[in-house]
Amino acid sequence: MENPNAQLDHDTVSIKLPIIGILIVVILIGGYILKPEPKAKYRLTATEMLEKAQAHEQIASPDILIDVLYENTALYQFIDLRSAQEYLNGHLPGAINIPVSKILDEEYESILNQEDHINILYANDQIGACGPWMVLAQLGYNNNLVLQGGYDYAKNYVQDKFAPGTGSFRDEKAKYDYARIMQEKAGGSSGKASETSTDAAPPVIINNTKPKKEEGGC
Amino acid sequence: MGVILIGLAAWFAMLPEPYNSKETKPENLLLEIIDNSRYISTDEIAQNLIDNDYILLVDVRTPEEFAAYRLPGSMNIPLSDLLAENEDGGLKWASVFNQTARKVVFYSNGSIYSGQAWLLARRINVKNIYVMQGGLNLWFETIINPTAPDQSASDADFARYNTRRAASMHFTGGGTPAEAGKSENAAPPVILNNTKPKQEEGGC
Repeated sequence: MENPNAQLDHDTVSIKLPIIGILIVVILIGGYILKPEPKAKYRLTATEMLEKAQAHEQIASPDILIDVLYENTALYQFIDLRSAQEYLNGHLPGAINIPVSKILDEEYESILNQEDHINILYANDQIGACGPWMVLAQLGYNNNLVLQGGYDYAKNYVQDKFAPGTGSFRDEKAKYDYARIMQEKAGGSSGKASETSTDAAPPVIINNTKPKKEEGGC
Repeated sequence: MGVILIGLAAWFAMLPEPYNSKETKPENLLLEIIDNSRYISTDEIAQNLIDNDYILLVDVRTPEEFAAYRLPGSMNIPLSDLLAENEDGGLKWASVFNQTARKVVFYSNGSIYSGQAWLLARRINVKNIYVMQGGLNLWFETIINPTAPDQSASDADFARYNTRRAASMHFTGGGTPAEAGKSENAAPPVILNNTKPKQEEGGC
């Protein structure tokens, strides 16, 4: 024998449940759509970024710099990451100034995230452009390079005085034979020599490093 | 009702990877890069090592370079190995990242690789990490082989030079400390804290 109340309850439930279910879905969808998007999103994982950095394809070497300055400029665009004041005091030809604190600003996204040409980012030194490059690379912005040696090197050893080989542009190259220096120093300089000389022993420079692909890295 | 739930589950599964709130956001990472607070000077590292303060030096160069020369007490995590994972999916170097007792200071020959290690570790929100500014190149120029200031330099410059000369003795264990000072007045002798007196160090 059917219980009329049970029947009534069943009808109520069979109508209400789907409605509630649909409401839940609508609320979830609405919440997801309306949720504020984070300002910028990583497109590479940390591991992918590490691999990309180690490939060392992001360096604008002195060769590229010379090419851009003296010959084929159409393909490249300099991006000056320094302050407006430093930019005004002097910058590489055709450079656009985007102070580093602003590289994630929306107004510059179309410049830094594009496929038409290649940007060469620079700061006074190479390191100043490395960090910013890595942030942009993790956001999936491609076609950005880092100027090896930075503006200091480019201006002094390529632009003003053409002597690219004499300037320092390999931050990660070992300048000295560390082990040998430590050995020599421990071996005991005589007291007399130390007292009279005011200069430390000249550092030993290694000449026979195996050439590596741009160990300056970044 | 069941169909709706299944539909929901399928829909959620297709959603793009949710924003990983455990990582440092790009805009915050950029701010940290700009403020340069990650840098520790070679002088400070030298003093830390002499005082036996608890810093953990992490050499991010290759094992070959590390074997040829390394800073005292340092450990080697080649940059390429920094984010390596175990079989269980956890980070190989989690013990270094998760400890809070010691400041972790990355170093390399220069500042670029150590800076990259720092940035990647900051991205995955490792805390209390730093970079030795200038790396081993600068370590050798300032601590092991400091250059004497000109006679016209300030007393502070001479004091710093003498501190560096003493540090050099400490780390190389060689020679007699010579005090450089202006010809009129010699700089006061430099006392190192907590240095066990060694035969070869001579007097100070």
